Amino acid sequence: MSTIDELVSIRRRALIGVLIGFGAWQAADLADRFGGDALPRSIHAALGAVTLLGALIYIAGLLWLSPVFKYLKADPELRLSLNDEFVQHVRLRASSFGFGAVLAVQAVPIVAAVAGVPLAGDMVARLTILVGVTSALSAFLVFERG
Amino acid sequence: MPVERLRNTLRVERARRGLTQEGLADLVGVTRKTINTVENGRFVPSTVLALRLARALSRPVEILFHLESVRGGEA
Repeated sequence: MSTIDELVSIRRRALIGVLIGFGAWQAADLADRFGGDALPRSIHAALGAVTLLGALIYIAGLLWLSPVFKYLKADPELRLSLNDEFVQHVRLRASSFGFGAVLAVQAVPIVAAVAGVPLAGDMVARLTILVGVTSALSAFLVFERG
Repeated sequence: MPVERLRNTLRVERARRGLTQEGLADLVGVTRKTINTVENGRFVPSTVLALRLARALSRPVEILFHLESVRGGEA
């Protein structure tokens, strides 16, 4: 396997780790906050554990990416190859998909308010970030497969 | 207006030169995945990349890429 293919593979695995970690971390934390005191202690503890585990996986994913950055810093030609026009095209499509998902998720607080369960501003903000990041990352991973 | 689709002979021309997707990718400075998606028609390359591919394969760009009518004639 060539260096560039190896770096593409590392980037893909690291992004999967970042996606799983971030998704688990933020979703569990959001569920914990949404449930509040109504949640049984065991569920509260389980969500706390998932939050911690997710955050650790997220950090591990970022650390996994570090060799890619090291290579790219040392070799500008490699940097261009790794971010070639296909990757830029995929990134743009993934960003558009993420933007659409962020717009769509704005229906959640509206529906919740109509249903008589208004969501706090920070909850909506965190939900928006969760959906925006995970949908864009997922889309990138799917579109990158070609 | 006729419906046309971009077709390419990249795989044939690459094989004619005895190059792998990885080898061609190295020559034009992209990833193997990019060559694969162009060959399969899933990604339409920019003019710059099309010209680089033509140069790497020593073939005119219009031999590598051409438009093909999908329905033939006007819609």
